[in-house]
Amino acid sequence: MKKDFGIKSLLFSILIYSCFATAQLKADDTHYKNMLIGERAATMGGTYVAISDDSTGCYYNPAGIAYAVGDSLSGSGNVLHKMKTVYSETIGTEDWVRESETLVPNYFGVLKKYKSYSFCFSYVVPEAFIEHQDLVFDSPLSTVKKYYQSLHSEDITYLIGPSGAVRIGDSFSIGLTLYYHYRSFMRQQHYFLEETDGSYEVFYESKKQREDGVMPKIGMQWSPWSLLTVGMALDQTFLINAPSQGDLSYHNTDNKTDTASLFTTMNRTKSEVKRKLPTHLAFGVAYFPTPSQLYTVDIDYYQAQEKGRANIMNYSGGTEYYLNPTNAVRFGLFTNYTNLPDTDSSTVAPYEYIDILGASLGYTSYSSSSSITLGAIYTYGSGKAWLYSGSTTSRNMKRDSLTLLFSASSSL
Amino acid sequence: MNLFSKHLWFYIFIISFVFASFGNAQEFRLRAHHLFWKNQEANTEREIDFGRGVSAKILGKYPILRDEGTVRYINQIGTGISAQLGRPELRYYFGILDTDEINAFAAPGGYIFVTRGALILMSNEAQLAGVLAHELAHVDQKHIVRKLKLQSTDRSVTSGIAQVLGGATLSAKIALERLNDLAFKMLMEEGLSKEDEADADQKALEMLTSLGYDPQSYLDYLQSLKPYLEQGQAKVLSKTHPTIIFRYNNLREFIMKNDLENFKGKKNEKRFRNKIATL
Amino acid sequence: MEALHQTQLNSFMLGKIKSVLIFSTLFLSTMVLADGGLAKEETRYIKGLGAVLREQPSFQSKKLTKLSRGTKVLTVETKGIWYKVQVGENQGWILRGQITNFPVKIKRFVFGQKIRLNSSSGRRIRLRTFTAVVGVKGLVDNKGEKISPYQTDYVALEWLESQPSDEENSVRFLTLSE
Repeated sequence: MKKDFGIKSLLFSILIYSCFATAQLKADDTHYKNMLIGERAATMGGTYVAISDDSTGCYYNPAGIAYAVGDSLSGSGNVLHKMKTVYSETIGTEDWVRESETLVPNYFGVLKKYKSYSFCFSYVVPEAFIEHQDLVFDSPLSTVKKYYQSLHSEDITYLIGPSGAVRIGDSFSIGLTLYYHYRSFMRQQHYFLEETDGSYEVFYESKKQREDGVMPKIGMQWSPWSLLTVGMALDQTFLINAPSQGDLSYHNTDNKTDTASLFTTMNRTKSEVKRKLPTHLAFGVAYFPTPSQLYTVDIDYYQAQEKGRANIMNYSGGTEYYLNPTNAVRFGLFTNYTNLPDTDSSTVAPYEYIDILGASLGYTSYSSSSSITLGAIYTYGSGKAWLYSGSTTSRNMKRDSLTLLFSASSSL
Repeated sequence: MNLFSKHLWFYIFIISFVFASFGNAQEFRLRAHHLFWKNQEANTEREIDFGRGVSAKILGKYPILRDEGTVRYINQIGTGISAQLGRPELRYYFGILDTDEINAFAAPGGYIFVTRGALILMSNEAQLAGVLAHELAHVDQKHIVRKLKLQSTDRSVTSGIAQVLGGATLSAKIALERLNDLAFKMLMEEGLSKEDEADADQKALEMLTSLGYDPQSYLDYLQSLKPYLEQGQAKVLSKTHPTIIFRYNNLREFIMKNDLENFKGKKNEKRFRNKIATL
Repeated sequence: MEALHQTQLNSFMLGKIKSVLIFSTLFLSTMVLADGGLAKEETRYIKGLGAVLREQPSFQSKKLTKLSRGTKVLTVETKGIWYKVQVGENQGWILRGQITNFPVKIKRFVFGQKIRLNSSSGRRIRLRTFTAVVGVKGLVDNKGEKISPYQTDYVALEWLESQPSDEENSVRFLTLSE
């Protein structure tokens, strides 16, 4: 099925096409900590397993909500999430820069206490990837008159469900969250290439997938001695179904051979392959020396269930300090390691191997029954990317992102 | 069996609900803003409302003495103490109840009453200051509020009185009224626990010493109450003071422990006698 | 497949142990440094109109200085009814009844029965008393019957509340001794 469109234009289109044929067009499932959830946890680097004692705790460690102070609700969102990825010397000698900007309300939770039982209902968006690109090239090569490409991609995961927790004795609590997992992925890509001799190509691809699943999360917290807590949580997402569908259509004419030939393909593929999500075990310690200070560290261990993924451990730590009873500041650091195995000389595209580190900062203003929080999260990582389909050559890549978050909580 | 063990974690969780424990736990988790608002205006406002209700009942039982000179004097002593050692967010009121009974009452929110009978029994200003300080301590420590179990076990920051008394509906007002009755009855009949009384005594002594008064005078006053108990006269103190001996011994111990034996404090006997001469 | 997972886990763990140790050491050390040796010091405020700072926890001890109302102190030690506090450069003992947990910056105005309080955050709240509406009669239920068996006298209460009081004068009056 080889068509002769001229080597250069072929290379060019392969180049452009293969760049986009990588896994980055979906949500980044090679990292587990792309989105930090909840105002207190997110501003402390996502370290919350040993604390988790308010309406945002339903997601990190349901056992913690047994120690919540009264009924409350809270909502938060990333009001700005700007991410920039730079692949060095990728398009010829030029860097390929990809930027994305999203606004995602990513958490809502309501918590109610009854004696020493606590119940919570929450909605979480742990993963949201939205990218829109429109590229227009006029005469990018001597044989190409115009090249136009547009890409729209959205991959959002939602978790929604109830949690319950109970205190047993003075120093122990146990909790359970049952989330319904729903993921909706859509990608549409379209390019049009017109050569100087009038030949042209039109390409259209549409992919969509939906996932339904459950994510049970069980947690416990223990206070071995005063001022110190230890928390553990275990969760795994089980997919029930994951129908996906892809449409591909390709149409071109070739004026070189003096025969106007039309080659069209219309292809629809369907699949029910469910990905296997990792088992997540989180462990944390928190120290509450005074009502104004708090220190905590977490370790998150992910055991991959899918072939071709590695087990990884992420670390995070955070601190909270009250300047006075109505103003608090927080700081945190965290790692966001890739779950792809180490690369070697045989690694082929598509592959991106990048480890990311992050820091977060936040400020909360408290009034008698409510609080608002402003925070910023900055991440940076560098690594390598294999971009050219079938090739083992890699390019350096860097990625950094800035997220501004806003959140409000109120007691009920 | 296989199916069961697969979901064991789930069953463990459900069963754990049976073993739930109650009461306050892990107070160290409370952050600065929790502690701050837990004690702030909302609770104070309602405490004052509640205290007014109880005070109105006290004044319904005993008439108030309106002798300007004496009232002014008691007020000055009381305000002088409360301005220095009371809760900064409260305004304290000091009233004299026109009755021969020997007693003193404190209602939440800063309403303090002492009877004419008690004033006549006192022999100097230090004793008056001591009695007022003792009642002040009841208000400071919120003994009455606590005894009525108004501080709920739930650690909501607006818990306590606010939760109970916050209602504006008629049924809430009825509930408030009933609580007032309960508090009033407790003041008149049961009294507070002897631990609370001993605690208030100790705080009173601390206040007396920091104000420069003679602490022994307060103990003398307690002693002077004994004959009225023993004789079972009409002037007998209500059942609210059955523990005079216990309190006296406690105070002696307190004085010894804190090296107050030789504390030289003022008594202002002359001024006292002058001011209450009209009673 | 299982064996592969196991060896993967072992080598992976060894590699990560080092970073775990470094990470946690850094955090614990910042804790210690920030906290000044994890001492149990607490911030308190002087209430009332001032407290006398003494050298030793005893009334016979020498007076060092007088701390004014609202002064922030750091409690270091406690002994009986005394607290050892640190104020700036000075260290001494004061009576425990003279300090409070919360910042003392409250001024009060009396305006008839309506008391306006300036909270320490600067907001003014008005004290509402529903009892003023209920008046002398007391509450009645739906049938018009009195709920409470006890008599109330709000007139006397209002008289009591209207009595003038002057804090400064009272304190001065109190400090006079014969």
